Amino acid sequence: MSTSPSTAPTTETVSIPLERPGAGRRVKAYLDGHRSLVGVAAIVLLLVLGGIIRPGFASADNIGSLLAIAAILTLLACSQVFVVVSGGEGIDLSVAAVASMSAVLASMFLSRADGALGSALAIGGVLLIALVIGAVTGLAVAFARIPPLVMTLGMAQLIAGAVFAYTAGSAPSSAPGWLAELGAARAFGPVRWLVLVVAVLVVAGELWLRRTRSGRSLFLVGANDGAARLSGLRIRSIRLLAYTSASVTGAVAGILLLGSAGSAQLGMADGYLLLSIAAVIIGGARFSGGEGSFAGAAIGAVLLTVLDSLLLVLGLGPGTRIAVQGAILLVLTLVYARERSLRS
Amino acid sequence: MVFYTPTSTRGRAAITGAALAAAAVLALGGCTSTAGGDPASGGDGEGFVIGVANGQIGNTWRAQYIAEIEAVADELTEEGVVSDLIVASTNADVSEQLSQLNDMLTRGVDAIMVNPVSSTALEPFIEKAKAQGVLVVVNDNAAAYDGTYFVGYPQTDYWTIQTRWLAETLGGEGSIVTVGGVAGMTADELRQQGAAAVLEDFPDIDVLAEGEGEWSQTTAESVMSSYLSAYPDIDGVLVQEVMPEGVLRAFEKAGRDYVPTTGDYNYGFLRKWQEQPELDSIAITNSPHIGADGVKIMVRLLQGQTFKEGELTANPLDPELVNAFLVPYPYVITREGEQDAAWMEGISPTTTAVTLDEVIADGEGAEDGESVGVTISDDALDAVFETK
Repeated sequence: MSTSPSTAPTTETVSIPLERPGAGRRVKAYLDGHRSLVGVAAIVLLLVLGGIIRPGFASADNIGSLLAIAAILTLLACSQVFVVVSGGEGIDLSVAAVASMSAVLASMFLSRADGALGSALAIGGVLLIALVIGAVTGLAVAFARIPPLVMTLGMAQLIAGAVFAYTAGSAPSSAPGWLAELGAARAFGPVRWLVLVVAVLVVAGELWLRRTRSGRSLFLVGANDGAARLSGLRIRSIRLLAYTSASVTGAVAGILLLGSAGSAQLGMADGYLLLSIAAVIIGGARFSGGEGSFAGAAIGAVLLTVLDSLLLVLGLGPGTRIAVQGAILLVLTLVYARERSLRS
Repeated sequence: MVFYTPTSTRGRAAITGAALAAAAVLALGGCTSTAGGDPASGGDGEGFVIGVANGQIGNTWRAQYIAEIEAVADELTEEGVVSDLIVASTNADVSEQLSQLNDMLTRGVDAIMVNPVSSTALEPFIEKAKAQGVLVVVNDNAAAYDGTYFVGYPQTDYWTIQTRWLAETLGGEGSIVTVGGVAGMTADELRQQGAAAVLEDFPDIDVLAEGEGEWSQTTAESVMSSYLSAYPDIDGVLVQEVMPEGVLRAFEKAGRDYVPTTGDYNYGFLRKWQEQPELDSIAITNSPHIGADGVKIMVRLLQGQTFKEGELTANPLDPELVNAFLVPYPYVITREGEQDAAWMEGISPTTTAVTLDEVIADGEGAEDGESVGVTISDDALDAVFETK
């Protein structure tokens, strides 16, 4: 997570205020420009608070396990970043379904796979299916102009139904040893392989998004597709790329989730959907497009995970906890959404 | 066609008709396929058309739920009792379920079994079904409507038995955490009530925290790892089905030793438990077979059979409405399979204590995700229905 959105040239050009602001607004603008810093500060604050209330909460071991829990959510939030950044009211309500599907299919394919080549083919097959799904969604959204909300919701339903029909009767099986190791074992100290893999993916994704032509074109299309068109960008193809990337990222999340959980369950990633959207908002993405970052989404995911865990260990009753969690989410969303509107 | 709803007066003639039909078939010696059962074909001699509306898809439990229903319907079709089974599923969509139910009415079914998405949204459909004389059986997830039946497991017992087991296993003292299902769902609430009642008898059992794993392994795993980080001393875990494997993974990932943990009834969990001699657990089969039980009972009602006095109990959602047939849990699985253990007291004598080893031996070749369970036997049903 070395690259933060604040250091990215694209974000800077978008967030430079037109007028010279007063001191209060300058602080606000600074914080806004360093959103990831605020997110990290909030995480640290929650950990310290948790550590005071329940010693052990802020231990290296627990932080390692919190990061591992946040890892899958991070990838799904990154899926959302692709489509949110590319604009056109981009959102993907099918990423969790793709992840669930991938976990189930991977467990089935891998249980029949022979050797390293077989395993590679099994994983490749799952990624290919996700790619096709993402391409279909992307074509429908970018070329047939079907609203993303409708298209991806329908796609989620279609995927869940198809997986159900495909697996009915025979329940999916366990993850193979190497994948379970990747999903659960420690690389060093309290750091899990899963966290390392996701961190590398996030950093690589962030570099692609900020430093490459294709990555930056995603921002341009999202921020202003009229201007992007005038500058010769192929908007539809770029949005198609965004939805396809989102779907494949969702599939990677699903396969890693299979490793982390040890065995597949139908619909096992479904609970991540709303959180993935919340993480993206907290991570500084703008739903009108043109803004957002993978690193921000990762910070959002970790913040949500730590918050959830803290509320659990406070020992609040179930009803109270759900209400508090809902209220905090609402406040976070309001705060972030409001800042957005002030700036635009 | 035979129409019957328990409270409608116009159904009475039909009941007699079905009873006569049943008697006629028996007299002709047409019943050979099921021991003690008295299957009769539908009133018009073509078998009943039954509809099943399932309110959730996408998990292995529901997949098996449908499969078991289809298996029983196949048997009943072979016997000539059922001519057609219409299954419709929705993924927790209330309005979709209502339209599926209405569609079944339009297609002229004799009876409908519904595993409701919502316990309160069925009113318009129930009224219409009653007007058409179509029998309605609510299955698995409770809903309370006059003129219908409810067939399900006694959910309160699920945690009554498991909590008592945990308390006894801990010698009546220690600190535990609980991982429930989805707060506010009927099954979860009834189970929580069951646990709370037992815990009153064990004042030295300290409940450190109560969380929900939402019947998801991954959620349960994060809940448990939070608990492990916050509480250095946890002596036992009270957790509902689907989630125990997630709970155990949290222990493994944290490098902590297992503590007594209530278990799951699918082969995946049971096999893992058998391989871990240091793990102490118990499983109660809240099996997907409850759907097949519902179909068997529904067909008997269609045939005009009636429950014996006292077999129906209050609906779990409405103490005033006596329309529920609670199917005793088939098995309580422990390592030793003690039928006379303290936690077996006060539950139905037809619930059998079985050993882990025999269950696993019986399930050789079964997939890990498959649930252990059994459909209620015809003998057991003979015992609860009025003999003719």
